Amino acid sequence: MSDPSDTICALASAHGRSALAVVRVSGAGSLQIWEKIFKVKKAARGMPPRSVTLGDIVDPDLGTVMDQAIAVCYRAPKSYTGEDMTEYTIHGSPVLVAALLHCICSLGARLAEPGEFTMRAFLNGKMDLTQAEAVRDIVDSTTLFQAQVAAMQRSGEISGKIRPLKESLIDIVVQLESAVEFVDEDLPVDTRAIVLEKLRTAIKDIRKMIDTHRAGRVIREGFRMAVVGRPNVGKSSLFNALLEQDRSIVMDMPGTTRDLVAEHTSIQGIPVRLMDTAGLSARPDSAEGLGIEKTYRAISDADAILIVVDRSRVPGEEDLRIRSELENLPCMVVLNKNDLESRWSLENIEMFAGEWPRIEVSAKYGDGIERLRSLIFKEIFGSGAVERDDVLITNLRHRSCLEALEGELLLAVRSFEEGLSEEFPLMHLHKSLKHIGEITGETSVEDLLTEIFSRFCIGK
Amino acid sequence: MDSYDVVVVGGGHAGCEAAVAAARMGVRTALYTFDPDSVAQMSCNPSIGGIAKGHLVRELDALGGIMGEAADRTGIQFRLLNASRGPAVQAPRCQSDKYKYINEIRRILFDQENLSVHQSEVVGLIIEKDRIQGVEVKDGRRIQASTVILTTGTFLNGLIHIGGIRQKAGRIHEPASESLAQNLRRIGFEVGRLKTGTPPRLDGNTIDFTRFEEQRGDDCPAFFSLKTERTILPQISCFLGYTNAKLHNLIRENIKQSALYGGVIKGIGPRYCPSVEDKVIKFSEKERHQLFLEPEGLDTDSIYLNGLSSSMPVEVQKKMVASIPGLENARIIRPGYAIEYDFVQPTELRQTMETKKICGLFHAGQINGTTGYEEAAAQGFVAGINAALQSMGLDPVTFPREESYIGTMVDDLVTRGIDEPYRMFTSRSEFRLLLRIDNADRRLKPTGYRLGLVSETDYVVFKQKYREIDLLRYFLKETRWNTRDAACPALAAKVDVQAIRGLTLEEILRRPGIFLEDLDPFMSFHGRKPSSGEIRKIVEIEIRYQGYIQQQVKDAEKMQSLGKRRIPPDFDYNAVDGLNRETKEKLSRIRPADLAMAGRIPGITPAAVSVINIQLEMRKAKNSRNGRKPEKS
Ligand SMILES: Nc1nc2c(ncn2[C@@H]2O[C@H](COP(=O)(O)OP(=O)(O)OP(=O)(O)O)[C@@H](O)[C@H]2O)c(=O)[nH]1
Ligand SMILES: [Mg+2]
Repeated sequence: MSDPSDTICALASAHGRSALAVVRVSGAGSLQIWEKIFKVKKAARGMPPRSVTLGDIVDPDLGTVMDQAIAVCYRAPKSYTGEDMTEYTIHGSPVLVAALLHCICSLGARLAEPGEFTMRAFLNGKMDLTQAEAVRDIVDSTTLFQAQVAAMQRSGEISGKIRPLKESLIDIVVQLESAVEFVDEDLPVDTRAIVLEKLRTAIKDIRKMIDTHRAGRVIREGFRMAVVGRPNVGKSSLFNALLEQDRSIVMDMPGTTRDLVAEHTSIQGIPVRLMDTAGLSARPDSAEGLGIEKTYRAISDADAILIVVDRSRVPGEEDLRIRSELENLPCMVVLNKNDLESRWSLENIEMFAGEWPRIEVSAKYGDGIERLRSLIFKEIFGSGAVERDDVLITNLRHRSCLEALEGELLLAVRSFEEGLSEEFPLMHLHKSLKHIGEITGETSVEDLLTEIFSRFCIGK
Repeated sequence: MDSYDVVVVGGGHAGCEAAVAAARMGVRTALYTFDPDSVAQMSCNPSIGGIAKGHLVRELDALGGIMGEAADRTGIQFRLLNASRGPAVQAPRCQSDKYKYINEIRRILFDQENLSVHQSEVVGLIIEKDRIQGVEVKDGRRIQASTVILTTGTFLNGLIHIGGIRQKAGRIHEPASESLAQNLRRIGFEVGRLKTGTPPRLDGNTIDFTRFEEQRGDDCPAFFSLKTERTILPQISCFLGYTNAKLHNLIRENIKQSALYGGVIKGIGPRYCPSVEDKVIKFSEKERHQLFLEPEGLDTDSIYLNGLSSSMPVEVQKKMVASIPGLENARIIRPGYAIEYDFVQPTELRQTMETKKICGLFHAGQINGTTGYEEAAAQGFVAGINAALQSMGLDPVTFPREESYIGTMVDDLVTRGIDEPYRMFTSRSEFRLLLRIDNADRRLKPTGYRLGLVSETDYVVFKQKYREIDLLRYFLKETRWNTRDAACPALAAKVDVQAIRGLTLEEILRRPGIFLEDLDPFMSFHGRKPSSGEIRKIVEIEIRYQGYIQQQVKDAEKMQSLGKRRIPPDFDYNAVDGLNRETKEKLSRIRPADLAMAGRIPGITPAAVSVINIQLEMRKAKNSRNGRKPEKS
C-alpha cells in the first residue's frame, strides 16, 4: 500500500481527448506546488479557498507559460480528500496533461495509484459506509487496471531496455552480498574497482535512457520539428508564421538563412520545438557548407519534418533529389506561396508528396496556417502513443522510476568512494532494485540468494 | 497424572532454550528427550555463530537466553567475522568443545528451578477440541500440559543414508520419531521433507597437520554474551586444506553410489551447505574446494572434516579422505551421511510459534524447516516465552522485523513458508544497518527484562550504560572544537586543527579515521572521564553512520505505521468482495497479523492490501456506530 503522507497527483477527468481536463493534487505539498506553477493574473494571494481562479500554468524550470487554466484550491479538511487539495482545469490535450503532471511531480508529488484519492477521502472520514462500498469497488477494479498497466509496461519499450540493466545490477548485488555473507569462502568476487566501473556504466545507461526517453522528452522539451526545403521557398516565412513572430530573417534572396534557428512554441497546447534551416541545394558553396550540415543534423534529430516547396516555381530535379533524401521520414509537404499562380500540376504534387500529407499555404499572408496547425496536430499527435494519456502517464511513471533509480545508484557510488564497506552501497542498491521492480516486477531476497547459490559454490 | 504448564518435546538447541525460558518465567516446565545426557548436541559442525547467526545469539543473550553464555564458556577458538567491514555485518563465531557445551547446558537445565528433565519418547499429542491437553509417552503414560512445544529436529521420520544403506534414525545411532510424525499428519498440518548432510569425523592422531594451513583465533576475542570477559578454556587452531583433482575424479567415478545422486533421496537440501558431490558435479569448473579440520573438543581426538559432507558408501569415503594430502593415513571415526526428515510448513504458525490449528501447541527449530543451532535456539526462545505467557493467561510477545533478526526470521517463516532449509543471512533483513551486534541489548534487553528473564542487576547495568552513551552523545553534539582548551596531538596528526575550529565534536568524529581517543585531552579539559572501550565504540558507530542509520529508521517507521493496522484473527477474507480466489485462499491460510505482514506474503498486491484496509475501516465504522446506538429490544 502506498504511503499516505505523500502528495499525490492525477488526471481526475476521463482519460483520452476531451475539450477540458482536470488535474488534481492532494496532500500537504499541494499548496506549495500551486504557488510554483500557477501564476494568477492579478495579485490574488488572499483569495478565499474554494473559489475559482483564472491564471497561467507555468513551467517551474523554464518559466514558460504552458496553458491558461482555471484552478481551485481547497484547504484541509474541507476538500474531497480531507487534505489540502488543488484542482487545475486545463485544455484537454494529453501531452499538456502529461506535461503538467510531470511539473507537479518534479515539485515533490508523485502520481496517484488508481483509487487513491477516494481511498484518502474515505480514510479521512469524508464518506459514509454506503459510499465506502463504492470506494472498495473502485479499488477492486484497480487490480485489473494494474494488471493492464503492468502488462503494458512489460511489453513496453522501456522494460526491454531495462532488463539488461537489471541483470547487471543484480550481478553487482550478488557479488557484494556474497562478499559480506560468506567471508570464509574463497569466492571469485569482483574487486571494488570493477564493481564501481560496472555501477558507473549502469548510471550512464540510465542517464541515456532518461534523456532519450521519447515521451518524456516530448513532454519536457517539446516535439521537434524541422522546416526544410530548397533555398528561397519561404521556410523562414513559414517558421515565423507558425511562431507568430518575426524570429528568422526573410529576404528575397536564396541563402538567407545560413545557421539553424530554433524556437519553442506550442501547437494546440502541445510544446513544439521548431527549427528553421538553411536551404538544401545541390551545390552548396563553402559558406553554406556548415549551415547545410546543421540542416541534416536537424533532420535526423527531428520527430517530424515540414518540407516547404515553392508552388509558384516549376518543379525541378532539385525537388526530386530532396524528396529521395527524405524518403521514409515522417514528413508533411507544405506547398507555399499559394497567393501566386501555381506552377505545380496535380501530378507534380502527387509525385512529390506520395504518402505524405500535404497542404497549401501562403506563409507571407497567413493563409492556411491555422489549417497547417491542425494538420500537424492531427498527423503527429492524432495517432499513436502520444494520444493515449494513460500511456503517457505510464511513461511518466517510468521516468520517475528511472530518475529515482539513478539517484540511488549515485548514492551507492558515493558510499563506495567514501571507502565504506559493501553493506552501505548495498542499502542503496537494494532500493534501486525496488525502483526497477516498479517497472519490471519485484526481485525478492529469495531471488538474490538463488542467484548467489547458482553462481558460487558456497558452503563447507 | 503428571501435570505441567509447559511441556517441551526434544532436547536440542530449540528445546533447551524453550524449556529454560519458560521455567525462568516461573511456570512448571518439563523437558522430554530421548537422552538427557546428550542435550544441546552439535550434530553438525562444532561451531556457533557466524554472520547473521552470531547476531541471533547476541540477541538471545540480550533477551536472557542461554546459548551465548554457554558458547562463551565452552569456546575453544573465537573469531570476529567481517572485522574489516562495517559494524552491521560483523559477528562473532566460535569453535566449541561440543562435549563441554553439552555439559554446560545440562548443568543449566538441571540447576533450573521449575524445570524437570525426563528421559522418554513422546509418541503422541493429546488434543481435544483443537486445544492441546498433553502428550503421551512411550510407556503409555499421559502427561497433562496446558502448552506443548515440539522441537523434534531431524527426528520426525528421520532416515539416514550412507551410500545404498538406509537406516531409520533421528541422528546417527539414535531412534527416529515415527508415531509423532504420523500424529502431525493426522492433525492436517502441511508436512514436507527436507534433507541435510554431515561430513566424516576423523581421528586426529592419524592426521598430518603440517600439510594444512593453520588458522588461529583472534587475539582479542569478541564474545556472544556481554557478560563474558575472558575465555575459560585453552584456545586451539583449525586447519585449512583443499580438495584436489584426484578426489574430484573419485567422486565422478562413484557418483552412482552416492545416496544423493542415486535418486533415493527426495528431500530438498540446503544450497548453502552442499555435499562435496554437489560441489564437484555442479561447479565442475572449480578446481578445488576448501576443507577445514575442526577439533570437536579438547578431550577428544575427533576432528570434523568441514567441507566434505557426503553420502557415499563408507569404502568410497575412505578413499576420498585418503586422497587428500595429510589425510593419507587418516582413520574415519564416523562416516559422513545424509539425513532426510519431515518438517511442518511454518506458515502453520503464528508469530508466537503457536500453531494456528491447535491452540497451545508450538513448533520450534528444525521441525519448521530451518537449519542451524542458532536459528533453532532463537525459535525455541520465542516459543518458550509465549507458551509460558499463554499458560499464565497473559498476552503474547512478538518480535517486529525492524527490531531483530529473531523477528525477521520468525516473520519470514510464518509469512512466506519455506521450500528449502532456511538459514539466517543478514541480507534477509531490510534493516541490516539497524540490527547490529553492538546494539542488540539496546533493542531487546527491555523486552527480556519485562519478561523477567533479565535480572534486576543486569538491567541496572544496562540502563547505566546507555545513559552514559546518551550523555556522551549529547556532549559531542553540543560542544564545539577550539584550539585554546587543550592540545590534542593525536588529532593534530590527522587533521588541520585550525581548519576545524567551530565544528562540533560530532562533526569531527564523522571524518574518516578520527576516533574518540584522538579527542581525549580536550574531553578531559571539559571534565569528562574517558569512557570504556565498549561505549566509545558504540558512540563512534552511531555518529559515523548516522546518515545511513536514519534512513533505515525512516523506512522502519513506514513499515511500523502499516504494522499498526492489525487484522483481527477472525477476519473473514472470503466475505471481502474485491479479492480474487487465490488471494482469499492465501490470506485465509496465512492469516497475517497486520497489514504490513499481509503485504509481505508472496503474490499479495498493494491493491489487495488496500482492499483489506478499507474492509477493516468499514468494520471499525460499523462497530462504533453500533456502539453509539445500541439496538433496542
Ligand atoms: N508571394 C509570396 N511570397 C513569399 C511567400 N513566402 C515567402 N515569400 C517570399 O519568398 C522570399 C524568400 O522567403 P524566405 O522565407 O526568406 O525563404 P527561405 O526558404 O527561408 O530562404 P533561404 O533561407 O534563403 O533558404 C521572401 O521574399 C518572401 O517574402 C508566400 O507565401 N507568398
Ligand atoms: Mg530562410
